[in-house]
Amino acid sequence: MRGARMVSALAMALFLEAILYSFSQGAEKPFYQGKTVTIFTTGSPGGGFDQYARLLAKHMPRYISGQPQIIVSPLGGSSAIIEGNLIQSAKPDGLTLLMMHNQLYLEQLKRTEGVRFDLSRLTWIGNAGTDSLGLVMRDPFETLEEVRRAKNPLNFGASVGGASYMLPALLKEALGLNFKIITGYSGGERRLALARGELDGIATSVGSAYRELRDELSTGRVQFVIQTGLPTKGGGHEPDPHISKVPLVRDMKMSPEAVALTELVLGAHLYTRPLVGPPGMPEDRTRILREAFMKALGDPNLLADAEKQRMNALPVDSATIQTFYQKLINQPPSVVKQIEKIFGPG
Amino acid sequence: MIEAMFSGLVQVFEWPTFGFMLMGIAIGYVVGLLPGLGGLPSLALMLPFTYTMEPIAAIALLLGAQAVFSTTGDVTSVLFGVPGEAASAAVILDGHAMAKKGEAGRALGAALFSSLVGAVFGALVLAASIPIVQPLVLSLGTPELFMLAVLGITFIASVSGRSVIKGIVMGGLGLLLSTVGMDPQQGVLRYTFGQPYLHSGLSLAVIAVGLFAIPELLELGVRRSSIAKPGFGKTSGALEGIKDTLRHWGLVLRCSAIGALIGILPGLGSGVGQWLAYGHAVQSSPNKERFGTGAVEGILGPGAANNSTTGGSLLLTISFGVPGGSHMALLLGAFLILGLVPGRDMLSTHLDLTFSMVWVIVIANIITVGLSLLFIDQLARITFVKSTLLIPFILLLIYLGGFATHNMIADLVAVVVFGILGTLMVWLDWPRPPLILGLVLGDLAERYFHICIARYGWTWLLRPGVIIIIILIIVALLYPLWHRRWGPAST
Repeated sequence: MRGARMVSALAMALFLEAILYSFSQGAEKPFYQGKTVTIFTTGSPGGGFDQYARLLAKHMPRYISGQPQIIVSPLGGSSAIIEGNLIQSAKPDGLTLLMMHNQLYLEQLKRTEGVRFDLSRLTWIGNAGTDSLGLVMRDPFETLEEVRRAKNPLNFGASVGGASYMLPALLKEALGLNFKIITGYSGGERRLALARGELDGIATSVGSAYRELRDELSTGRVQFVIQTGLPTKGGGHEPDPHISKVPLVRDMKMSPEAVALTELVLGAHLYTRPLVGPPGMPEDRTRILREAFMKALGDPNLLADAEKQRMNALPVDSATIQTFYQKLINQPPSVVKQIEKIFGPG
Repeated sequence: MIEAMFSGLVQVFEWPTFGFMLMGIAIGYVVGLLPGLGGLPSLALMLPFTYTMEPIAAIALLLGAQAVFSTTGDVTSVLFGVPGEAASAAVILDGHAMAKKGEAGRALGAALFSSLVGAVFGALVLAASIPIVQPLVLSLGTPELFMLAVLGITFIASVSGRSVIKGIVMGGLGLLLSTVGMDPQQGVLRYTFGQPYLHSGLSLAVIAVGLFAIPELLELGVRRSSIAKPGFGKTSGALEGIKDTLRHWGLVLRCSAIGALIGILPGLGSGVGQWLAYGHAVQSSPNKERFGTGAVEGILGPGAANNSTTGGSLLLTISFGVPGGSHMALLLGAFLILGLVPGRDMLSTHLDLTFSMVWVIVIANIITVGLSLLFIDQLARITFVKSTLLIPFILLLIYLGGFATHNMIADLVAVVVFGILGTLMVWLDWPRPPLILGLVLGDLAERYFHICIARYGWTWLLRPGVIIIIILIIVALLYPLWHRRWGPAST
């Protein structure tokens, strides 16, 4: 009797064990559990791309099953082309991402030496932020009309190939403004040169200007005269709320060629913080990352952190951003020639 | 102003601010010692922790670390010949040479104590310049900055060692290497040979590690003994190094002033300041031939300058929002997160906070140097450890130092290439410092010259500031000739 009881207890235990085993087989361990995702960033540690990547690294894991660790690895101001090549050839296992430079498409368009990436093949996760770019002028230029009327060339300081060069070069071409663009200035040097009157104007983002030219803006020694604006949900553009009365570039009267050029060049400045992965990432992992990306960017804690750092968080889903960049890199040869004329050959 | 100064001091000693400062010092200490960790990524990692802190506590944490990076970076430079931080490379020349002679303790004492003097000097400059910094910085245009870069290039003659001709050739090579990458005027790629790695130019940190650390390592391997060559006897103590600092107080203060001035000027930074200070130390010494073989003045100059730069560049950062280097760019980011906007407010409404920064720099360095002096002689004994035990460790430091720059394997290749070049230079007796000086000043001189011509034509040569610096350059170049011919020694 006692032996029979023991046998039935043993059978019961085996049965339970079998059920538990089958459950454990059914509920697979999430892929990202115990894993580390690396987000490489363009620019230096502490720069804009790095800031956004760290924000995502802090808040995205909560929305990924298995809560992986996300680390940020700045590429320390190396060439944007290296970063593009790096992500193109990275292992597509869903563990390597890049907070990509938003002007990388220009290098692909111009077929710059060393380009081995193809933006249309990358796995797009989404876009995290935006910023309006504008021209800041010194006294006595308070409006774009006054800038138009300038008899002598106005000195603009810029870094070659950067946004500081791109906007005045574009406006010089599209609006026929009398600008002399002096290259070779770094960001800090430009702002000091503007403050001491060596330069008449610079191009900078509204966010940077309110951080770094606050005294000058508040006393009216410098002012914005034109801006690229922020994207609206309907696909249009609106002025940055800090400088709501400053006109938008797109509202200017331009020839159809100039309009096309403006759309192309300023396009990437609507979506300034794209996050991408290597080509051919597994679909399930891509889906997990895309969903977590959008959820994290809607998280009030992330938005509060962004607010503290004066960052314009702007969640844009992968489909929208991918279509957008696809359009940017498919340009007719005539447009590419024009790009090379203004921004130099590749 | 006096009230703000005391208020700043009291705030630093309040709890938990003081605790955060100690934490920052501890992090800065370790990071400075190990080249692979690097000050910049460490500050970036610390940044998110400051989001929820009080401004003063966050400043104590970040600035506490920043203030001691180059102080302890000098320790690695002296002991192993590997620059702990890029700003500590110049200390290797004489610091490591002293370590090889069995004088590591004295070299460390001199490096640490001159660093302390430099840091305090830089902090005092920061405090004293608050009322005049804005007009001072705005009075210096690109033409004046260009002439200062040219003045720096003339220092190549001072750091050339025995042969000025060889120095000029190496300086020229440095200038040539500074042109690698995308040119800053037209965006044309120069000497990149189809390699995207070279698009953004050569990294100073990588070159310094390769040029200085690899030859030392090879020499150690060939010699198969310890770093300190046998027969040099007992390690001399740190106290001797402190006495050296006091003995050469004039040099230490002058080099601190050079560092602080370089810090205030945008674009230069401690990478330049340390070499100009080294050049000045050589220039002002009656026994120039001792440099490179273990002259203590060769440690005191750069040791003081690389620390006084912090005060100078912080002044530029808080008064204009223009970071005087990438470390300051991160600190600027932190200030903005904390709601502190650089500009007049920092020099008026938030003056107490500005003064608390001054105090953090001073106190952090006093604590660091005080602690280090307690066990410096023990640290110096590493130079008597057998090379077979040390080489793997130093090799690790070298590769960490190279890899941490961009997190790229290509950096390790560059370390090896410059290591081979450095070894050849040592064997053939070609000086390495002029190459570094040419490299760091070449980019600045090229950019500024282009801006001068594009903006002013040739009229920039008539600016009073430019004329004064031209006269200084002529005096600096002709004085040694005059001294040789008509000076006291010639009679």
